[in-house]
Amino acid sequence: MNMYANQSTASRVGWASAHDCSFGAKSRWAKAHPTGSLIGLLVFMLAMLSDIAGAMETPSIGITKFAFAPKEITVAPGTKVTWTNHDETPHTISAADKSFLSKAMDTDDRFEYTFSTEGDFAYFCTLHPFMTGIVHVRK
Amino acid sequence: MNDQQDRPDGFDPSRRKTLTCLAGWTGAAVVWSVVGGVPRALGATNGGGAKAAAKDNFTFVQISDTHFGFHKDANPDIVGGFRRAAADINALAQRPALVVHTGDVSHLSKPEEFGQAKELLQEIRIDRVHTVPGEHDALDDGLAGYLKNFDHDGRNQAWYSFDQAGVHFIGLSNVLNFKMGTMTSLGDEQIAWLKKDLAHVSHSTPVVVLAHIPLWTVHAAWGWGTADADEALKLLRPFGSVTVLNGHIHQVLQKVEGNIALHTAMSLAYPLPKPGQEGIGEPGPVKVPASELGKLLGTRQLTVVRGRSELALVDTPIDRS
Repeated sequence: MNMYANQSTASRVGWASAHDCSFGAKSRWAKAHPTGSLIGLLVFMLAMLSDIAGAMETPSIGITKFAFAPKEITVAPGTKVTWTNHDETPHTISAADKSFLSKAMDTDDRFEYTFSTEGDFAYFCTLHPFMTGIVHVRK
Repeated sequence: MNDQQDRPDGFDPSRRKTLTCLAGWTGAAVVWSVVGGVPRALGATNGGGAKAAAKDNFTFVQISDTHFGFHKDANPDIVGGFRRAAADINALAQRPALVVHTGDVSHLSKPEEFGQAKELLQEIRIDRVHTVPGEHDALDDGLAGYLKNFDHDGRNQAWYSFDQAGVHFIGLSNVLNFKMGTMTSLGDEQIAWLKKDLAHVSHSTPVVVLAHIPLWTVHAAWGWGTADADEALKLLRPFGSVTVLNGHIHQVLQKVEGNIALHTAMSLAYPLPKPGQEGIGEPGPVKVPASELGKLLGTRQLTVVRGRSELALVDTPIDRS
């Protein structure tokens, strides 16, 4: 849920109505400021950039049939990753280096973690240690 | 389980023929004895009692994997099923001396699930119920919640031992040491304790070991095994009669190694696939038709027959229709 809160904060500051309305946002802004075409272009570019950032900002990993999917992802530092359990069996998300650990997640429960530093973060389910995944954090 | 006995390739040293009497169920319980890994019928009586179990023999019951709190499609009525099992135990011809529960008492380690377990276990007319924890009993806060309810000797430890009727019982915990990409383990501290505990037991004493996850590798890819089980079994080999009772895999399997017989039990919650079952990639609850479910859940009666190293086992499904 927090990740949506994050997006609405971004929308408020005007340049990251990232997901689905960057063009609309741009044109509304442009109408409000008809002389600011250069600024408008800048805003448009920022919106495009934030679109890319936005897509990367909320990667979600599903847990289905005792497996993480995708099993391996690469994100930028500062990215929040979300895991959702679709199984009837509880699972956990536990970093191999113990940097993060979820509570037991029952069906449809979610866990989020923001990766702030670069590195390779292998993780597994403490209940089913054969379930493994990795998050690469790269600038 | 019926399928398992029907498999043409059914003989596998690590998965010998199961002891369940499902395949040949005719309304009478068959007592199997295990000699060199080959199950052999001792006799049959009505009502799950055992002819071999004369009155002076010591009999107890194993239940496993009750998963109180589970309410998904694979079994929407855990409590109803448990009550049928309790009625079966209460109706045994020879009253068992105790019940052992080989773990996953709860589904999610919630206080209310442990509370419900304690209440329901009282419906079994029995003096003592001994449990070992399953990994479902060790969620979030480790074994703190479990031990609040099931600390058997006041040591605040999940492993313990006790003697009853000349049998040395050992409860072990192999649900805390999960390491990435490997099977679970007992851990050095517990192995050291086991060594110390067994030092005081004569080799002629029958030993019964309880542990949730099998102490032999049933299927490594699903984590159905204990990485350092051999360390424990090594300590048990000098004993003339060792019976290891496990849960976790929700089905009856057995393995015999010399004087050590290892048995997994049926669950009282839901079935799981056979080890590595084709077409099923993961060890999750298996949905079967409602009319089949009770045939895959059940209890086990064990009898220590004096003068025999093997215990007599009867696996009884809750639905015998």
